Amino acid sequence: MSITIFSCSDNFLEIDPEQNVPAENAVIDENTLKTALNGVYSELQSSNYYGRSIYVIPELMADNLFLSSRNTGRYLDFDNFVVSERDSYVEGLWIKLYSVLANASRVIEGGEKLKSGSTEQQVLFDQLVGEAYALRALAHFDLVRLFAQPYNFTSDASHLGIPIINQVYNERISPPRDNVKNVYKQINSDIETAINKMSASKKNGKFSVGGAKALAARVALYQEDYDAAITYSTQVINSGTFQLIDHDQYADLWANDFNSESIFEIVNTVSDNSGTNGLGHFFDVKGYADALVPLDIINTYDPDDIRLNAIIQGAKPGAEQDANFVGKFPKGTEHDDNLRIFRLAEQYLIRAEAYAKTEQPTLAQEDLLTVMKRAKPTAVPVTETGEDLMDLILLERRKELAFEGHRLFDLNRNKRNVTMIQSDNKTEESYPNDKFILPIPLSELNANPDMKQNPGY
Amino acid sequence: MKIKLTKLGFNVPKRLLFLIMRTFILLLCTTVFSFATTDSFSQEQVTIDMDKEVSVDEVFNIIQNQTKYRFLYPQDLFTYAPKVQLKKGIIPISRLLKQSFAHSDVKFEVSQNNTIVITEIPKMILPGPMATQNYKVSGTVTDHQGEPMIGANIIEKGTTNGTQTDFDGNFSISLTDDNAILVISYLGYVTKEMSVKGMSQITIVLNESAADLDEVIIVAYDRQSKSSYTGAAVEVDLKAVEETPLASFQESLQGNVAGLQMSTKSGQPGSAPDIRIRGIGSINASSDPLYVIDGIPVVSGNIANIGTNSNTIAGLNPNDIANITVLKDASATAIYGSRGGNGVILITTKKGKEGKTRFDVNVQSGVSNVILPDRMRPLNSKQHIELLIESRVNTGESMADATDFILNNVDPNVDTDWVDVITRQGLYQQYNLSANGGNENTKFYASVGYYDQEAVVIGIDYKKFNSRVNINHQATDKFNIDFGVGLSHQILHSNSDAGNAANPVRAMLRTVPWEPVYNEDGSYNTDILLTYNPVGLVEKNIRETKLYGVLANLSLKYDLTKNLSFETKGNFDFNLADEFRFDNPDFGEGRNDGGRGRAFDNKILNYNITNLLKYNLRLNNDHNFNFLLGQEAQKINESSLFAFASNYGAPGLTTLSNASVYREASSTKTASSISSYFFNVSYALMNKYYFNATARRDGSSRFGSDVRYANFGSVGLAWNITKEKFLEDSNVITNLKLRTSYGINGNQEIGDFASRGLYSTGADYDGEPGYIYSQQINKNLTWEKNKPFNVGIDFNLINRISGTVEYYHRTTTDLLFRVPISATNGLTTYFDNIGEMTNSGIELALNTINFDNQDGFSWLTNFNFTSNSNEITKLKDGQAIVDDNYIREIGGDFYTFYMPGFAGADPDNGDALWYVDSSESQTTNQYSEAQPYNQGSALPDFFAGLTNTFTYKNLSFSFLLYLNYGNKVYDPWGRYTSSDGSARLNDRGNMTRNIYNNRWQKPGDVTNVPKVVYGNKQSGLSSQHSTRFLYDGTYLRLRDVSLGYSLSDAITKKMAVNEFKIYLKASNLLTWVKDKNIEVDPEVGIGGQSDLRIPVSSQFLIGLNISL
Repeated sequence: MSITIFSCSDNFLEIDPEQNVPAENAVIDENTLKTALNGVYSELQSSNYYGRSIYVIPELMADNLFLSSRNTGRYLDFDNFVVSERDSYVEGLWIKLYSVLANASRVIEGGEKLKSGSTEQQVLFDQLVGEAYALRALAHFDLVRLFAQPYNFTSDASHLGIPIINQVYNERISPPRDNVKNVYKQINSDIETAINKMSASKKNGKFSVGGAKALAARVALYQEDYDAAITYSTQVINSGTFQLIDHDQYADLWANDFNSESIFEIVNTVSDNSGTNGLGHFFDVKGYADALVPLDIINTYDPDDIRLNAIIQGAKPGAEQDANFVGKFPKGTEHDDNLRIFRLAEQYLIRAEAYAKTEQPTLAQEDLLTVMKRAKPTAVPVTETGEDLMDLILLERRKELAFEGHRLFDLNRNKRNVTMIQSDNKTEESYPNDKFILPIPLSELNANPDMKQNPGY
Repeated sequence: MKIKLTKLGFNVPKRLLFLIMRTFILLLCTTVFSFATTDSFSQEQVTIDMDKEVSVDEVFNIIQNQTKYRFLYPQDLFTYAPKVQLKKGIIPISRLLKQSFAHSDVKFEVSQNNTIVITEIPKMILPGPMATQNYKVSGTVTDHQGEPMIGANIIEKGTTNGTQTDFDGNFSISLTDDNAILVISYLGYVTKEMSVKGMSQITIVLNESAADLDEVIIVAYDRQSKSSYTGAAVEVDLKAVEETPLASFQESLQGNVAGLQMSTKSGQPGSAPDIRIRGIGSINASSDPLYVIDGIPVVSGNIANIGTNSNTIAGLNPNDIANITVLKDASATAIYGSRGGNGVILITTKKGKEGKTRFDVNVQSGVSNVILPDRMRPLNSKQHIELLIESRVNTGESMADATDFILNNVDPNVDTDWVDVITRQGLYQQYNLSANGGNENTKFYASVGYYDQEAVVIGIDYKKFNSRVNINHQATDKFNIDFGVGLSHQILHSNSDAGNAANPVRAMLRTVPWEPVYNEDGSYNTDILLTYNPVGLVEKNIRETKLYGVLANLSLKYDLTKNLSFETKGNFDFNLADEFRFDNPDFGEGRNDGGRGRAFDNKILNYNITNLLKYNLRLNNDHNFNFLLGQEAQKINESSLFAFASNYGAPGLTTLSNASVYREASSTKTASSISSYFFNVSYALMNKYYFNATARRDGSSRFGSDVRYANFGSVGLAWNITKEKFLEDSNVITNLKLRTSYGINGNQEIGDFASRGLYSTGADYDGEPGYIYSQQINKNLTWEKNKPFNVGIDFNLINRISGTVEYYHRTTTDLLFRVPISATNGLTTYFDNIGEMTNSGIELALNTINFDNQDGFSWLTNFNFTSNSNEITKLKDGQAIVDDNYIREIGGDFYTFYMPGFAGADPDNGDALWYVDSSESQTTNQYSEAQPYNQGSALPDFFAGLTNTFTYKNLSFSFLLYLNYGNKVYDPWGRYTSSDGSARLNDRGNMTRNIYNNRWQKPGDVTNVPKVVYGNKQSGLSSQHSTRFLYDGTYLRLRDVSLGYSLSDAITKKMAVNEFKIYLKASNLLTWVKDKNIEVDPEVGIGGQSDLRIPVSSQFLIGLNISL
């Protein structure tokens, strides 16, 4: 009968969750600010984001990767260049990226309301909030390059972009797509705030001033703001915080976490192992080995090019007897590799491209040579200029940044045609092309009446 | 006069009907009653408040206390009369008296001043054998279940010569005439006349007379006489549950209960089937009914992580069940308030009976086989190679090159029959032993059971151990204690379903035949299925789910006065899922990290306290009130543990202690509670008109504090038309009752914290804790309200055709729905009360006695039919919601499929064609140009069950046909098995027999199967959901066939047993499908989507029941 009496008391019906925190209490002090920010970083580990999709899709939908004739069916429609709005990987990317935006916005809003107890603590708060700004900029940038045509697609970038999330909403929202110009404006504003707030020049596994500037340089390049691209990449290169890995130690670039060339990388520990959904599992011959490296790209390398070490020759069981596997994720199936989102070599290439496009070929050749020499110390200086130089820079980007999720973007923003390579087929898709960007997922169109689909889908 | 009257309980048939009449001891009935009764007398009833045994004198006291009647009779007239057994309930005085006087030769008359005068009449002189020719006939009287009937009366027609059956239902009578006709009667049964000419040994089967019975049915928190009940409730015929080889009683409900749809999702033994009572009551909250076992609202369904098809309710042994009642309308369920919205299934377990201890032994053993029609059998290597070569030729390659290419890559000499590899004949056995007995004050029932079933798929099996003890103790005249405890232990070996690489069913249907199971050296071929060799995994991996269940209840009842009683019940329902999973270090999931081990532990403790005050008020003969006031509190605590480690060293050792890398450890906790008060009144006016009203107030921890409490209630009316004068004497319409009800109940099955804005913990980063925004707040989230209206007619014609027809209309408002929202919110769903939905339908249940022949042949038919239509009537902003392959829109039904329409193959070039839009006027060969549109519903137009039971002497035969009509079934995996060559040489690229038989091959071919093209991009892609894989789900299934033989009493007597029955049973023997193209078994669960689950199997068994 004691339970009966207990049941009559009010608190019998007051039960609180034990694995959840009320959303309004998510960021209330230094500790919770860190916890909420860690949540945002952990979203980047997802196989729907840097954990796999954003590395694989832009390469498969171009000439750097193709699916083995014996594959698990993962990303098959990207390889076939027949992506539909029902595609689960497209949907996964979309959802994950907006989750990053919503969570980062919550960290920013919560963190900016915190009262610090000391100057030291304020510096820490600013650093953490700055990281959230940088993460928000990164996600907006990834969204706009995946789901919208490049900045230069229209003269004033007034074409369809993506919905911008720059605040916390406690009511449900169904925002329409903003134009690309405004999305870049938001990205640049967030990066600027991030750079101003952060104090750490390098922070293992986290955004730092260096990371934010590397992002700024890439964004500027995509936006064709070449002066800014040169400014930011120069600041990164000249900061002294990062150095290119030597030719002899090239393997360290992929094997060693937080190596000197790495500007911002996402950490994967044993407990983060996404198992069969991991990037390593996708490439490793012991795993799915779904995506293989076509000869088309292998043939672009000089036989002495050290970067060929990141491509492993072998046989795909039950299929291609002479296969080439991606070796940039050396832990393979055993443990998810850290994900290097920004590294110094790209900054050289960004600056080279920006110089080339601003009629500064000598400087461009110099930067290009830096990257080429690391790959092959005996590389001869380039002398080309103009369009030829641009071709060389794009080729070097292809070789240097292969399998790192750049290829389709590089071609599309440079208004190039794209060669789609499949296991037994090769087609040339011409620019401009509706299908060079992903469709807005059907689930989003169904849930958001103000959402517009990309043309061609 | 032969009087046998000491022990009770020997005559209660296995099927425990709560028949008031039958609990009386019946003795010689040669007495001729002289009824000089008035109408009011014949209508007068008394209430027996509890089961008891009383003297005849005490019967008079009972009547005098409750009515205006007084008795006048010689003292000592009944001194030597045997006691009368009274069963709790309501009984007309006339009948009560009839029984009380059954042994005595008396007559009674009701005088004007309500005094009943009883006088002795002279003993009848039975004609002695000397006076007659000696035609002697002996025989046995049984009920239709073969239970001997003790005390049945046998009279030679036209004479006063008679006798009655003994303890074993046997009798012997000497007749005056060899043309004599015997009249066999038993109260509550249809009197039978039988010619005995030329026979010396006969068996007589009596059938229950519906009109005479005032059955008591089990209802919420109580029992009630069926005639006065205003609700829609069906008592399940336990014959359908007993003797079935199924692990859970739920699986036996298909085709046996009108208004109840049961669909098996998985052939995993012990799995939880989908059960819907009167349609889909909810969208995102549960549509499952509430299960109440001996008054305990129990935890039902799956609580496991690995064995996700497991079912806590399967822990209840069907052999321990005494009664199952399905409550369907508001009048029946409103008292369960926030949990009654989807109907309630009440289960009562067996109780002990007074008398000599009786032992029952049931043994069953059998086999099961996979049901796989030819149309579903995968291709062999030769056929598949033929397709592959053709697919190369269709890309423009020459026949020679194509043949070379394929034969260079495919070994035609390997021809694995994956069906043969993956399936097997499953062995099955079940043993049950129970004992029951007791004395006047204390009765017990105890049982143990063992159940063991192998599925038809390798590696899948199920074992169950049960025991139960139920004890009833009458401590004093006023104080009664009921105690019951059931223990269960289920062990499941399961496997992943759907697209999981380890799913053996997927391996069976999708692996190409040219891949061997074993390498030449005998090791497993792990080049296939990403190393997930299905046979190897079964051998080397562990997927074990152990469920432990304790269900205990203690009920104390005290009679404060003769009209007022208090009951308090404490219930305890504990469920533990203890699971272990091991992935071997060599292939499959554990191959890259030295093997993986995972241990799960999930506990759910559900306790419930109920207090009931019951009061009976009788104003005068015409007004009888029953009041029930109750209070209830329930709390469910759930907690779980998980540990994960990898890298094993010691061979054969799999516990986590043998692994070197600790990967993850976590624990979780959650709880929910409900606090309630309820009130019920039922009012009987002249036993013709009945009124019932219920009110309940529930508070739930699951809802926001502003909307935490809600009120529920119902009203019900019934009119017993047969009690009206114009029908009272009808021989045609022996029962006719009209009833109707309306009310509100609810649904709160939405998870524990659905109304809150939350962050989810566990998103760690770089060794530091992290959390993520996981749920948007909705302070106004509240109950789903369900408002059922019901009108029904119960009838019985000429005591042979009885049944029920009902119409219902059920409106669900404030539908709890996980509304898909724009991902820009950072979340994709939002829990809200968004709309309204209705379910309306017609139910028909018909029981007929077709043949009831004198020579012992009988034929009974039970038929039930249910037609339900579901309609969404309101959605937030009127906006349609597309959810995967379904669309939810106003005017549509809940499971309306939504996908592009497939238009077959282009006769000119073999391209797959789809309709551009719903007008179906234009086709396209570009899938992306095909708009999705409505494609029909997964819900059937109707379903029906038909059971025929034939009995001839000791032999019985029955079969159940189940028809499911007019729904659609979607096979989401058809996109993979109908790859049209897009899968190239992929080892999971098996193509279906339909492709082989019907594909387009040359211009002019008219078919709905496109051409095969190597590396096809036009059709056969996994993203191409369409009606190509949508089938008509109509099927007719011969679900159960049963042939039984009971040894005759003469033999069982010699063997010193009460009963000895041997039987054969077969289930799912035949299935007819309307759509000959369907590539899955049509029974796939309510949502109409197959998911590479273990197929339904056919089963054969032999069983033996012995009762000692």
